[in-house]
Amino acid sequence: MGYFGPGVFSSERSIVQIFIANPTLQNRMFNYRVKGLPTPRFLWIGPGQQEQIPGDFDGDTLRDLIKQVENHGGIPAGDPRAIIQPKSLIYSVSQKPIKAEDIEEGMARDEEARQEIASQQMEKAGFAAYHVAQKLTGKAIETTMEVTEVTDGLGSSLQPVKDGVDMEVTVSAKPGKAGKLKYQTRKG
Amino acid sequence: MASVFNSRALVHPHFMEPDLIITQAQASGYMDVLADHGLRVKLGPIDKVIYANRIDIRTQVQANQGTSNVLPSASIVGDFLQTATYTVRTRNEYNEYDIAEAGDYNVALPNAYRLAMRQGTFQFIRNAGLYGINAANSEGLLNTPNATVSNLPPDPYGNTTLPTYDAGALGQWFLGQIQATLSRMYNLGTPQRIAILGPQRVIGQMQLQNIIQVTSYQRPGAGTATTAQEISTVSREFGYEIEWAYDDTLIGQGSSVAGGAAGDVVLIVVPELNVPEMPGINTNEFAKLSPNLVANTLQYADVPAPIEVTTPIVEGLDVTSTMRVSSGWCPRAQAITIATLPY
Repeated sequence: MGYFGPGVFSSERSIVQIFIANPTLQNRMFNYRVKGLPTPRFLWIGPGQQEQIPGDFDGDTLRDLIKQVENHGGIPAGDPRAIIQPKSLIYSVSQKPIKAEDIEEGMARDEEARQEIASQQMEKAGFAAYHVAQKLTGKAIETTMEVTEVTDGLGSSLQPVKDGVDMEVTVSAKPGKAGKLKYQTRKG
Repeated sequence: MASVFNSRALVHPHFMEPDLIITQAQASGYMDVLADHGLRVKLGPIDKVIYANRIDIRTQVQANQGTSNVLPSASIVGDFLQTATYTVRTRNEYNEYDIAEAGDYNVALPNAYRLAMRQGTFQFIRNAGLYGINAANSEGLLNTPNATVSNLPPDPYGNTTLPTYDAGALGQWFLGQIQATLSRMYNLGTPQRIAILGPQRVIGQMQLQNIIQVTSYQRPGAGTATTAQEISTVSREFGYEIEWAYDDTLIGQGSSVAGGAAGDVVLIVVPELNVPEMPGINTNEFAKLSPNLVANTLQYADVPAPIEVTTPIVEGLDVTSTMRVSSGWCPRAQAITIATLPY
């Protein structure tokens, strides 16, 4: 048997292929392991591109590979709106490549997911100021922190944030309910 | 910001410990992934956008045994990159009664407010550095276009999550990522600083828990070293200095794991460029053109720490803290590998 396990050279081979698309602006080095092989392999997928996992696999190996893809952000083709986390992948198990529209939709979802994280992190910074004020001074009532966006003179290649990035994070303790916080952000 | 120092009843006689008990926050090591370990303080206070000129070269040469009068020439193409800047401002107001009441708690209120404002501002700068302010413009190191995202494959025993992963296999995978990063930059074989930034639970496990298991064949560090020691030791022998740094905001920022939470991110970054060159015939000769920006990862600011403007107001003082920063910016995307690891 040597390096090759029973799955790889099984007579029950599948004619379907696994296509993996990368709906992000970054390169993707998809590392995977084929059962029975001693070292992992990788598939290099450029931004917005798709590749096919080379090889001819039996059912078990195919299932194992799909599990690995799903373990690293793989979303089945045809449902790119399911992408809610950046750095996801789109995969398809068939003889046909993934549709370009699915990849484009996936890229739009990836951008939304990245912006969502950026906004969350900004709000967390606003909270941080509050928590420090509270710890240092005993019991802070309210903090505000604001971020101002450049809106004019950006040129054609820089675009302002959708809904605006101008933000004021106000964190305050709810009167009468100590320990509970409320916060509001101002955008646009 | 406001402060309330309540009145309190104390038993006399008593001893009041003069030092304060202040809860600690994580001091993020994200600065280690920036060139020269810090912000590039070069902005003017009203600079809205940062531009950087990029020069590309494509030279054609002709090689014939005979001579030709029609010779190809070099093309030098100028282009520029850009990123936006943002002001971060925060303020507080206090009067002499606030100062006196805080003094009763042994707290210097103006300094307490200064530190509180800085904490918020600095955390914001960290977040802007890693995640950007405007993802649509690909700001933030994690959003760097053309950076490489790499995922952890199952280990030889089929384990997929970090706590169960084979320690030796994990070390070899990380060394492979370092090799890939340096190869993309043509920096393999050149002394280099490499910063590895990740959550404490990932880096800590690699540093302290993951003693490399002894196997039937010899592995570096087997039975004696941890994954992180193996990575540092092997790298150092070839001139690469590994710097480990921690930032817990990277928890759950990787690609999502089927049916569960997203994996953690570990950034492998080569912050400074060591211009590759060879004595004699140097096939990278054009890179000797100066000035050549050797920083790969950048974050700009107008001042090293926020400016504080104190203004008298009716019966008190108003202190505004302000600073202009850019998001994290990586003009050389090859320098970043974003490793995503299921935890």
